[in-house]
Amino acid sequence: MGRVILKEKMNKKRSFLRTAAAYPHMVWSVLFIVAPLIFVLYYALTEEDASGNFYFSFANITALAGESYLPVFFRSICFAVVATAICLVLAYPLAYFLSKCKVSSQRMLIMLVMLPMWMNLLIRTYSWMNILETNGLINNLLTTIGLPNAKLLGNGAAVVLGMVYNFLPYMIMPIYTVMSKIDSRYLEAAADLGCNGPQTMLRVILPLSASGIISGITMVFVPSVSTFYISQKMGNGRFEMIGDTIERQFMSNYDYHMGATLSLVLMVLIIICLAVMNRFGDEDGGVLV
Amino acid sequence: MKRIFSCLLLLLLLITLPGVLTSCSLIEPVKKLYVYNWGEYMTLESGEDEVHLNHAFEEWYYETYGERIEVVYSVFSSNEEMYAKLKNGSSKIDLIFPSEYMVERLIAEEMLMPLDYGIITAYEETIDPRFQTLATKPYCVPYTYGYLGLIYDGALDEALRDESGEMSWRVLWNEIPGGTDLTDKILTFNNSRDAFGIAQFILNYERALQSGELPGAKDLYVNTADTARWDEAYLLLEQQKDSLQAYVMDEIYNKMESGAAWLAPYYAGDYFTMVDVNENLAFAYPKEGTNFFYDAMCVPVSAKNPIEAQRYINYILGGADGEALDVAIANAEWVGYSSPNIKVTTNLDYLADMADDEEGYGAEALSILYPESDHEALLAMVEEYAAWREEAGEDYDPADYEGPTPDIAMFTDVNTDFVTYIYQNLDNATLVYANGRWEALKLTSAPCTEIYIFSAVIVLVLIAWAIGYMLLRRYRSRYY
Repeated sequence: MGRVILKEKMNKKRSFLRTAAAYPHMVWSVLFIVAPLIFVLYYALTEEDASGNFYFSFANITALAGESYLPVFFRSICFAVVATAICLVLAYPLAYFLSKCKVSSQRMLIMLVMLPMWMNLLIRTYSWMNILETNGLINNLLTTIGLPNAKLLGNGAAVVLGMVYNFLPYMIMPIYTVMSKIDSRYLEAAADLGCNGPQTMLRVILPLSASGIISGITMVFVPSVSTFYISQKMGNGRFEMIGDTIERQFMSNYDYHMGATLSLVLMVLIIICLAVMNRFGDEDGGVLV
Repeated sequence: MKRIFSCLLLLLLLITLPGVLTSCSLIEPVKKLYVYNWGEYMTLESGEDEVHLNHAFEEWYYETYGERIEVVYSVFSSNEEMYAKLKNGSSKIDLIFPSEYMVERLIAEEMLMPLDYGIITAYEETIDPRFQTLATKPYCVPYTYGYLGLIYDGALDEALRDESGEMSWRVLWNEIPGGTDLTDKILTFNNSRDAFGIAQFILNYERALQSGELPGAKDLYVNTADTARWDEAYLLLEQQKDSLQAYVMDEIYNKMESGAAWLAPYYAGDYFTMVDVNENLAFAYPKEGTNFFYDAMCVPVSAKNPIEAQRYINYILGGADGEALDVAIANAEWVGYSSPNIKVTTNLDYLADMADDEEGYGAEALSILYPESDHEALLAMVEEYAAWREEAGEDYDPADYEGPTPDIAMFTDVNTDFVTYIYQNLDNATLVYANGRWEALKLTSAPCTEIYIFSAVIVLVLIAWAIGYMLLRRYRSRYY
């Protein structure tokens, strides 16, 4: 009897320790995630009158629907979808290749994938500007071999390129991680049961790496849809993304309420997109594995 | 073993901690002056023959007041950034350098401390009389000023000028008198006030031209509260979109220096930075008039050391009786913007250094920096002085010079054809309206149909895949 009580006590003690370990993180999230979210919500649902008092209002949200913000949302999502798709197409074979390499060379190659991330995003984007400029590296090369100059900067493709370049590692890493953990016995079993190469790929590896794909898509889509610096620099300030609009509300219009509303709507949109995707992801995984 | 070691470590920490704490408090606390300025906006070079203004001030302060002070210097890149940092009040700032419209905004929000001209004794005799009448005088002391102008590829010079040899802001709309097509070579500001300003100068000028009252009522457009006028400017800016390469702020340096763009509006002082890299560039003031701006030194109400901050201002102006004039001159030369300090601008050494081809910015510097002055006469004087200085050798004494010297009269509104507009802080309703117009301009994007089509294809493929997959599952579930 006594022993049981002791055991329970120990359990309690351990569970207390366990929750205690989570406290720093909880404090962190309340301070820096929940509290800011509450502020965003508060600013989004209020307006300021002439004397600086806040009052409750849906004016900002209705203004969103009426004005020309919808095309901006639409544009951002389209750019993000294209960038995410390209990332996926590029990253999947690469991740597969990586996971098949020798362990020692895997480390080296992964470092090469991560290498650009050691530099600041702003610097990377600025360098791309210099490469694509009308008299930049590529165009200089073109002129020396006698080809006409091409306009590489300031169009939609340049913005997508910027996003793909900056966010590609976020796609490669999760897919690679999942793929390198796939048990080779599955592949042997598939071969035993008469699967040829493409069939193994489609019916074994692809479903098994679905979770990596899903988290890769999430990690690329979310920053792409809310990006603001890349579109300004690579698009010459001519392709307004929702991130640019939000930045301007805070930095030059001083309209915190509109900025908060836009952020809130963007967050809801992202959550909807992710929910839809996760639903598909779960079904796939569940059925095919 | 590990446990013993970690216990020892902890013990060691506990022993040393109080020692560290007390030793900190034993050192005599040095007063700190927090200065918050634009980037690259003060001479802080520590080489020989160079002046580090903050070190010079610290030394001078110790000699004059007998106590140590340390200048903690940090920089911002836009008025808005500075405003945000000041507004949230979390950081210590004793002295800021905002632009004129931001000064007005800060005054309106009661964030600035009235200055004590008993401390800033140099003000009366150093600041240009034109600046002494500014409405913002009780709160700020001008640091630099300047004008907006056109920076362009020198090869275009002839094409850009009309029959009378003048240039118009209209060239930014690809309306080139010489008939050249500059589509995709033109830049403009990615900030509402400056972009709108250019459209407003044009509209103001053309309206005045029609009614025959040139140079026009100055504030007809630029600081107007009339929304119809902002609409007109908006329509003009919309027409500009198709000829533009980009909306830029600091990217302009890269693009103009590398020759990726050929025509852009920017501040006169920054032109010298660009021409240093790309010597093909040229500069001109358009006939419609241009923006006049100044950056000023202000003390925020939250300042912990307002008196020291004002002594710093006084030192930058050259100190009492011009004891630190050398520093003021070195600073003005280094910064390269127009100086509102007449002791500096009427100093022949300063003018000669600025107009020097090698160390300064060349003969055009005076007409670009001081377009409102009698710059031709100034240049003649400067050339004479420079020749004398050359002859006198290393150890010359400016007091020995007997030739003509410039005075204030040569600077104040000699060139009356030069029309300038100053931006004022707009009232709230107008600001909201103007921002809304800028918003509308920016929200419409350049065409990107290929992206839309591409993403539509991707979405369709996804949907097709999902449907196909569902059908396959149904089909399979019938058999297994």
